[in-house]
Amino acid sequence: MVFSSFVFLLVFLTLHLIIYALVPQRAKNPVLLASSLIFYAWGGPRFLVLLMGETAASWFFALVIEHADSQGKRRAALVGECVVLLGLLGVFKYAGFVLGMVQGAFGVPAEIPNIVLPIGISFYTFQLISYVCDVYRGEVHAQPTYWKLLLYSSLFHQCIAGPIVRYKTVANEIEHRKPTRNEVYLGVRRFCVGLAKKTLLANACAAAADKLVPIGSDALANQALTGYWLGMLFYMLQIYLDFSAYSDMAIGLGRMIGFHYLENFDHPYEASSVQDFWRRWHISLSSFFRDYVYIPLGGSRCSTPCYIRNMAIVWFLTGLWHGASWNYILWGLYFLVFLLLERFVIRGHLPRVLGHVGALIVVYFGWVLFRFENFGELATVIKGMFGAGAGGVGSLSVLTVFTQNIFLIALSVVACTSLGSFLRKRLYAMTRGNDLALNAFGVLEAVTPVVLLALSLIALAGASYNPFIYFQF
Amino acid sequence: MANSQQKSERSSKGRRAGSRPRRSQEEPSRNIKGSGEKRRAASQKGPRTQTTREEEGRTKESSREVERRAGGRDGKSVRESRRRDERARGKRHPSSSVTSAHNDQNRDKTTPKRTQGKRIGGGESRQKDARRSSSSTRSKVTVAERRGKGTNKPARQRNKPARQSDRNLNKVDQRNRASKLSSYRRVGVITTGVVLVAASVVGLLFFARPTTSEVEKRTLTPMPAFSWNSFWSGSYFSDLALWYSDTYPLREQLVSADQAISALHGIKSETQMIGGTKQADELPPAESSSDAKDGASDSEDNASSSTKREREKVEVPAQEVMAEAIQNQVLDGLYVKGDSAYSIYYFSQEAVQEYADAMNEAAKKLKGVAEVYSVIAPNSSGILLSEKEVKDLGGTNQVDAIKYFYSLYSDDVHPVDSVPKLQEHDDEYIFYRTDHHWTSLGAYYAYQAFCEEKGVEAEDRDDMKHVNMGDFLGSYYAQLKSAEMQANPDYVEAWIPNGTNKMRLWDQDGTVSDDYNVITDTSKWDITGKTMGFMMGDQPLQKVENPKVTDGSTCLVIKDSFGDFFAPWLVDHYQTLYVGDFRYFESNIVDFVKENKVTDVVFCNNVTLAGGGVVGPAILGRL
Repeated sequence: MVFSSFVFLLVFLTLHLIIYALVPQRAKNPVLLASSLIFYAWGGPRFLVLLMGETAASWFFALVIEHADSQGKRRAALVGECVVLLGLLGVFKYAGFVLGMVQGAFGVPAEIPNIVLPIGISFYTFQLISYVCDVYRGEVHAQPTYWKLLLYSSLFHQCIAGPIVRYKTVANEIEHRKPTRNEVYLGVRRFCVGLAKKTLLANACAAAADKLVPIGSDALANQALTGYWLGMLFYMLQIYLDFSAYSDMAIGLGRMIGFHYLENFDHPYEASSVQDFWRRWHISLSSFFRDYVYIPLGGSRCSTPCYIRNMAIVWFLTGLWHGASWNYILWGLYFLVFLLLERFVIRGHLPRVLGHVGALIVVYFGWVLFRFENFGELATVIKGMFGAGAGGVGSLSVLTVFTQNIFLIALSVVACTSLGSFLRKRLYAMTRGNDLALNAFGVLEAVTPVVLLALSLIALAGASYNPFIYFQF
Repeated sequence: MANSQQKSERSSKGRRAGSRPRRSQEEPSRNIKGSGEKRRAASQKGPRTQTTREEEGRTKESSREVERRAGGRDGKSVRESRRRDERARGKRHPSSSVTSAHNDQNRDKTTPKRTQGKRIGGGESRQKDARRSSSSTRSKVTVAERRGKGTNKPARQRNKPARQSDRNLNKVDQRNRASKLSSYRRVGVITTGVVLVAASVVGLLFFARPTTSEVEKRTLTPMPAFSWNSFWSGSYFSDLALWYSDTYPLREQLVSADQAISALHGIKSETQMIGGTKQADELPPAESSSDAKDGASDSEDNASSSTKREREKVEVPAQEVMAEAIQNQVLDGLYVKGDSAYSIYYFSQEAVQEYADAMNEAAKKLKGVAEVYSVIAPNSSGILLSEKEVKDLGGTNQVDAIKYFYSLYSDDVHPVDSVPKLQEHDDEYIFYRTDHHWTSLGAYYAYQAFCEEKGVEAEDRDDMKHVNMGDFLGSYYAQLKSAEMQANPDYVEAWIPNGTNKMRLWDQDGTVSDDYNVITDTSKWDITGKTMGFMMGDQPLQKVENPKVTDGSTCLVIKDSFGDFFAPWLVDHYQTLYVGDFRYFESNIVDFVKENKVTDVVFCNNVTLAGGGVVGPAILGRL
């Protein structure tokens, strides 16, 4: 079940929130857990076994670590955790990829099993690993109650699409949380903002991107030069709006009931350098790799070759995490090159404006690598972008897509910046001693979530419009 | 303003906690850092340590052990103080600038939230509520501020003026503002909840759930049947979700609202091109194509043996596959000019060859049994647009393309060249503007060409009964939802055959009925469904028996939807007319022809579909 669907909003979420609000305090966690398990089971109950099993393993290893009397035992439990969880992740996510390579090289095995990727496995595996690591480091106590840990790992807010919430962030809130009225409002608004971002902007951008740079279609090779550039611009907008919308919705859902997840995005397209971009993009993932891979390896506190090795490992893994395909690995290593360039060659000497533009260009081409798993298609697009394609410079078809979406592009670009929150802040500042402005601000606050929700429902219904030109009945 | 107040409150708390000395400990490390980036990172540490101090101050737990026991949150400050100790001892910060900046940011973001977390449940006044309210914006602003120009300045200095103005703040005004905002926000939460619940209740009105969509002309997703298999794999749930949204009671209204909103995405220019990023194959020149024809007839054995070899493999594609392929072919590459749309044709050598193979194979198998005619119907773009316009859009000249089709036919196939007739009458109403079909009149001119090829006299349409069924909006409209088209719709006219208007129909469920007409008056029907009146649309089989002809002549028309407009004109020429849609016709064509003593077989297909790679295999598979 995805957040941006009728069945989630109008059946699951409504029922869940009503029941959650009505039950007494002590029953709130059981309700939340039951809802989360139902939510997860919606994508196929068989994977629920996996989620519960991984949680049980982590619960067990964390308790072993907590109560072990020797460092050896603690270490063994940590290794056990990593082997079990990463092993399962490897089997479900990367086995097909690796076997494919082995087959390519040696001709065996003859048949590659088609393994279905369990929903959210990348996210909850990392959550559980971070939990056990934190227990190992003594940063947090092991959770003695299994179902409370299961609540953490399966919590439907973030279980299937992130952010990767650390156990220590929510440890206290699992036990004690009581949102104020104002927090409920902020949560509702955040959720509606995310929903609108996804349904009104990201989906429309996705449709335009798929029209201009379709994956797995012959039309890709015949696109005009401007069509490739415009298509990739739509994709760049789509991927941020889509992903950050999910994080917004997760944060909003949490906030409504008293959880405070960390921010996952901080206007990444406003970054002033590639390094800055990665501080602002998918923060929960990059901080995971920083805390559990980069720093344990020695970080930058070692010789230059060692530093480069550490960076290479981190960026290889970052790429690989995004998908079992070479293009994602290439995408990770692509950023490694620019990060090293910034550290050793540019060293912050670039003027701010140039740095910003440069970062955007690097990121833009990064998304080209990210979009096409097929290297043939990737080559087609890159060639086409630089005028070596079959489609000429422009076409009426591209111009039509552009003019038909010109306001969408403008709005999406604005949504990628911090302009909205800046204006809101200014408006709030104006309300001091000014009743009219205060009322206007209040009305704005009141209508924002409901208008966004209504528009999102309309857009969701519209997305299912699928006319069939031949009579079927 | 509330931001700065909060900030000052925090920093003053920090001071109260007595952390000044620590700050000075940090100064040296800041001086060590050289480059601009590092300096910036260092200066950011100011506020960070402040906030940590604040926590320490509040929890009043200085011992590391106690902090560790305190659980999750304080765990971070354990690490923090450890790091600070290291720094004090003169060690360099362990992480690179990437990672340290990361730390900063996370902490910036979390701090306000943590503070909130602590306050929750404290039963505090609304005033504090309001301050908290802007925390999300605040954290971002402070990050941006610090990242901005004055990064070298210590954060404390910049706070100063703000703090002074805060002191002057009228606290009563502040409280009033907060309570007023809070009530507005309550309204916001309640209305959002009401809308959500109302929409859910509508979803529960099962009796109001539609099963078909008039606008989209399709059967909506049915409720899935339960099976353990689909339950276990999750497909049951995804089907259920699809059913829920597809048959949501208010869906059609919501869809049209969405179309109105989507129209705001940009400007609709007068001339548009929808899709059409296709590369047409080069059309072989006329000389070589006549060679190809000669070649085909010379080495007939070779050609037929090669088609035979392929025949082994040819299977009729699944109906849904054909339907989808056709929909994509017809609606990809739409050139829109105001209230008219034109489907551009892109030549594909392979597909055209396949269709010609099918025609040749049919003629060969039916040689001596029945005559085979082929009518290739052009699109409106081929007749109504100029050659240059089509070329500029990357399309293929249809006049030449249809000639090429015919050049591949063996001598046993009668090509029906409708193009010159249509071109002659291109100022008449021969194509719809909002639909991809030709009109009944357009089909009439093709019928004249057919009569010429067959050597019979065409009926004069003025001798027939003319019906006008009124306004019509077709497939292009369904796809584009164009306001110009809606303002200026097409109209549907038809001529009822003199011989008979009665028709027997076998539908897709296998039901047979005699209650149908060749031309049904659909003037009362939905504006988008009026062309259903021709032969009742695409069906597995229709049969028309004309009592005015008794020579035993029998015709079978195998066609796509263009044939619906063409076939009625043939009624007056045959004693028995069979019409079957190539997608749904179930019998083997050769057997059918022999069993029913068919004398003429007419294949009537649109150039896009005939050259689209679907019709050829479908016909070959039924020979």
